[in-house]
Amino acid sequence: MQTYRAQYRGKLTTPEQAVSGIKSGSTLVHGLAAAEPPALLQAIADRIRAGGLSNLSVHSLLPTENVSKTLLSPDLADCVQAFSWFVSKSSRSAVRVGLNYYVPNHFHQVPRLMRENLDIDVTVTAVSPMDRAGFFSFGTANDYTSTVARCCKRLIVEVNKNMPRVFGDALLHISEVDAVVEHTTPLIEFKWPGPKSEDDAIGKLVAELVPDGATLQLGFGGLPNVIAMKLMGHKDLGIHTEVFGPAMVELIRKGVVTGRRKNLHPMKNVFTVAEGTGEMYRFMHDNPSMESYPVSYTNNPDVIAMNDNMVSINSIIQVDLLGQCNAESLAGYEYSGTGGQLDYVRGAYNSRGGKSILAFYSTARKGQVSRVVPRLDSGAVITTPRMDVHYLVTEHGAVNLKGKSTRDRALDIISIAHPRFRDSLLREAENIYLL
Amino acid sequence: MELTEKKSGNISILGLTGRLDAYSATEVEKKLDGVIQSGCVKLVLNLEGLEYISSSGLRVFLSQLKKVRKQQGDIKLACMKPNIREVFDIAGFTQLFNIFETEDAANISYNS
Repeated sequence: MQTYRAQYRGKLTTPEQAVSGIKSGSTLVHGLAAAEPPALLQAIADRIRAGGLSNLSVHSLLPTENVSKTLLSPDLADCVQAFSWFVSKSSRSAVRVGLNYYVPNHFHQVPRLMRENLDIDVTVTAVSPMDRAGFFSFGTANDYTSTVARCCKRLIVEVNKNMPRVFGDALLHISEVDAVVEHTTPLIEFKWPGPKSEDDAIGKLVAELVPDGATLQLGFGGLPNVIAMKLMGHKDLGIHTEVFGPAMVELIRKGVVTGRRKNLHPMKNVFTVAEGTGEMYRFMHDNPSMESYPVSYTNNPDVIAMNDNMVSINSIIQVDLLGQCNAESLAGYEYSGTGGQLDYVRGAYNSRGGKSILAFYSTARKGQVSRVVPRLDSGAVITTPRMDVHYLVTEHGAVNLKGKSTRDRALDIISIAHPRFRDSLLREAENIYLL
Repeated sequence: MELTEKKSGNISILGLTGRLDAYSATEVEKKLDGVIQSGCVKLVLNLEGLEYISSSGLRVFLSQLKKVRKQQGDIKLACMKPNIREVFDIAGFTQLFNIFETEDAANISYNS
């Protein structure tokens, strides 16, 4: 214990001192979302503003306010080359005008892509306080952070007492760390828009597709959280997911999620990223049921398929009559990213009894625009190819596209479009000889 | 990209016409560097003829802005077309630059 404490004290420094060795031209990766370390990011931004650092490559995935207020601030755009591996509200505008570059990826491959393709000089991330054995926990962000922490030239951690200590393969030893700073501040909280009128119908349809004993993956965003609330009548569900969110806490607390029937990691709630509220982070802390693993494991389709009755639930923006799903682009521009959608679509379908569900509202812009379209918009990106699509669900129904002809797919997809658009979609389907 | 230059007292007024993209950004940067190195740190860029600006162009404007502000100067932008203004808005650059409807308004602002 004394040895670890002594190492800790020897590496403990100020944010300013910790980042003072970063050189111009460096490549930096920071912890994801709630693990963005505010004090270190601020110290780096201060150095840039003082003229001491330039040409810094910064890699983010789902950047949030701690990085958007510092390294992604517009006034640093001439000194920072910014890359988003998943576009967020914080980087969408910059991506739109070429001041931030999206990096296409499957989330499960990101650790490998970063390790093999980036020469990472510095990794900065927030971690939980060190335990008596000398271990920090990656807390809310295991994902690629645990990989880049070990393949960078310099690892700086920001110890935040609010970062939950979680289990699984989520530990980092003091001997692996180059510098430690202490900065306790509330973790970023994620809130989603309030429920929509269509949510009730979509939630019920999805819930009917989920058998008791299923293992769940729920995507990121408002709709998956609403769907989770419709599962309160289920029994013995399990969690093997990419993003752990607040709705899952409710399912666990109410005894709906027990994990008893999981083949892999029974009784454990497996995740790679956590995005939620302070209450959720407190629930996670020192909770032995909360197991975090690198995304190369949680999102590996072969690993996902190891649980029987795996059900993945994600959302999309648009689907065409061929069944091609766009979950990431809007009006020809990158809106979000592929993330782990296709990882789970494939993994869940390959699980015995598994299902992949893509849920979406049938219309956008207050009902004026159909999300079911004859052809995807020009410049739209296909996130889930038609060969992979299993169930599609809107407030008007649920369809299973597997094994169906282009004709039957088109008819099925039109059947879940908003009734106001069905006639015109049928005409378009005929025009392009799908019927 | 066509560049013109005129003086109004100690203010340099540069007119940019055409596309400010990865190809022309270096030329514009050199021009601005030359003006600044000559000792003029009060600039007005008349963008009436600017039809397109890329991220390279935005970066050049920003880096030059920082240079002149360190010397108590400024780069004021005038006569932006709506599509250019939209790019500035999206990039968050409207909060960084002083932007005017007319060249005269930009010039006068140096005296206010």
